[in-house]
Amino acid sequence: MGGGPFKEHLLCLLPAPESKEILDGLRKKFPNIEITYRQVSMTSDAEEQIKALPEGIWKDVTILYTLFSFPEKPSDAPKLKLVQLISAGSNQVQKHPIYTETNVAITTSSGIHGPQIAEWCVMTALVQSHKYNSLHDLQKEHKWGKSGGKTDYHDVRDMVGRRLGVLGYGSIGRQVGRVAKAMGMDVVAYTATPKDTPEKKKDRGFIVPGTGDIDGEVPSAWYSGLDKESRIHFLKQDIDWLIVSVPLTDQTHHFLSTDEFKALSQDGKKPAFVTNIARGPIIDQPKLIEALKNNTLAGAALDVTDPEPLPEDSELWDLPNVTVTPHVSGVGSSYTERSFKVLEENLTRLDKGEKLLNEVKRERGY
Amino acid sequence: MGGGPAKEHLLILLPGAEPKEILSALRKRFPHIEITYLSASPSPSIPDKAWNDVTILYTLFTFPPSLSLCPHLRVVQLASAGSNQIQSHPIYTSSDIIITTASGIHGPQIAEWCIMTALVQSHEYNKLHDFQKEHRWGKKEAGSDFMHVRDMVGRRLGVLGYGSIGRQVGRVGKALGMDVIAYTATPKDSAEKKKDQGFIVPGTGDAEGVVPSAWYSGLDKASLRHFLKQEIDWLVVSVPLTKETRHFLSMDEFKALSQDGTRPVFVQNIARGPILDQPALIRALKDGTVAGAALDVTDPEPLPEDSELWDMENVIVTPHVSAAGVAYEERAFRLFEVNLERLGKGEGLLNVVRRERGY
Repeated sequence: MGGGPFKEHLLCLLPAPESKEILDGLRKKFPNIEITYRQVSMTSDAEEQIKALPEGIWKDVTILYTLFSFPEKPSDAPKLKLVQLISAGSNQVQKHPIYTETNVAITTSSGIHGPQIAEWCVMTALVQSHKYNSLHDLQKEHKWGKSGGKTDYHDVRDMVGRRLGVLGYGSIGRQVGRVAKAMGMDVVAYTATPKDTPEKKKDRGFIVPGTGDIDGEVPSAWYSGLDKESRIHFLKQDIDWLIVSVPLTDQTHHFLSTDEFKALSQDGKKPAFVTNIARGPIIDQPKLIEALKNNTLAGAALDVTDPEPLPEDSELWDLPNVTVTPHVSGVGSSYTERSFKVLEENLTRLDKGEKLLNEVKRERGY
Repeated sequence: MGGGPAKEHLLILLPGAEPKEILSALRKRFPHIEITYLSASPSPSIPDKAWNDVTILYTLFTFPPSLSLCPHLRVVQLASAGSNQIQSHPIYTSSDIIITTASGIHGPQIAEWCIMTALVQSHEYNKLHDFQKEHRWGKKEAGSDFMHVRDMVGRRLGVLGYGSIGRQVGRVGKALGMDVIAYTATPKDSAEKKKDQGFIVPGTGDAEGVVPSAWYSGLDKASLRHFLKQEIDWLVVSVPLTKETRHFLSMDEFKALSQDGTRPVFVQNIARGPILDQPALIRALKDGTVAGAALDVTDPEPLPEDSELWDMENVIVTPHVSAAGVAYEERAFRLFEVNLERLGKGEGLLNVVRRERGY
């Protein structure tokens, strides 16, 4: 192999088979980067698999592209300058010495999940409001509804004029907001810090074309503040449907508990519907169950729980207005392709010495 | 009671409970209209006298037994989007009485049903629901099972019948990142023609006709198939049922849509069952010409218990409920109010049925 040494060495350790098409595309676009790909499994043998990697593989790695596979000790990978995660969250690396003891840049794939997760949010909300589960049961029984015209369905209510509250107006929240607005809803947004200028309302991250809310025009009102008072103030805004899309950090752990559910539902007078696609521990789950059982909340859709897997005996499985799915909302065929686009963007920026996309700020935890 | 505008006699015949609040608001707003409400179900026994003075009829499926009973009737406002139910009645066949529909109120609710059933299919919700009933956290490697789920970004929504319902599905389709193409009976080849001049629920629809990236038209087979061949991933059927659209889609059309089954296509019908040649649809679903379907309307209704459609895994059947909801009555009356206003002023009404075209 004539010519100079590679400038960078990219190691991909991912729980998916290698896509020759994507890798060839990358190699073509970045001839100075040596690319090594290894598939790792999603099971708990992951650590074993790290150990099974060829000795010394880490010493030349400058860029790591992974989900949860890191060098055991930072000193194993002395040349490492960038860790690109394929997840939106970075919790899985936050206890690792790479995070706690080094300044190695860590970037996430925030921005790729919006469309798919937003679809899941809309689907599960509509499944509840249109009583799809009953319709499905009727279909299985070959039954054309009740006899005599007027059925249970006359109390179905559509979303027009109702209010969507987005707790965490990031890329996923923005896409839910976009779709909700198209359905005729009013959207109110909540962020950690105030977005009190048009500039601050913009989304500077990765946006899947044709989606999102790049200029921050969708919400009719914005709220912010990590303290409880600010949070309760937001939740009291007559919200019919709340999406939880904040990152899990020390501040957002058990962000929503009894007081918050009460505020959300005007003390049970206007029971709201809650959707969680972020991380289970953001919601105080036993309190959620209580609020659902005493009708403080109208229902919930949870793609994430605390813990995961959700234990078989959890009451959540059988509550009538609750949908539970096994952390699949972000999983799909476009995932890999879009995540590689973020990687591509960051490889370009790294090369040019530009600010990276989706860099985790250790001081704030995401 | 001297002077003032000519007294109108409005007879309201609807199934269900008397909408007292709505009626008193109507009476307040239109003091020159005498308003009578009678329940239309279970089987209405309406005295002949009730028909004699009627000038305006607001109904769903209850009509006067003969034209001679209602010599003063000038407007029939239907509470439905379709007008099929009146089309064999002498009011339709043998008079010039103006018939108006409630087209425009159904968009949001029916569009939600369309989005819901499309996503239920693409995200494999039924499987997820089964897991939940079993208290099962998916397969061990849950990620792998759903890896093939594909979102709507960049996919193409074809709206067969870009009316008020179609426009709302289009609006949401676009927000989901889809490309939307529209089909109408007659060409919409100017900005004016692309507009929706009818009743639009605020915050919804596509008043200017800016959502579709391309428009197609024509009631003949060649034009229809040309539209269907546009690499559509998801087809919504939202045309009215007329003699031209009966069995509009049959095997040839399904084949055009999916390029002989080489492209997976999802077909939704929220219009009227007979627009699809149902036996052909069933064959197309079985042999893979059509990848999946969601039907809120069938041929006939109720769908017979032994229809193969019930059990097909890639088919969703619901009993004509997509428009039913709390907002229906209120929105239908709001549209009706617009027409009462316009009638009083001698202006053209919303949604007048054109007998020569059947809708």
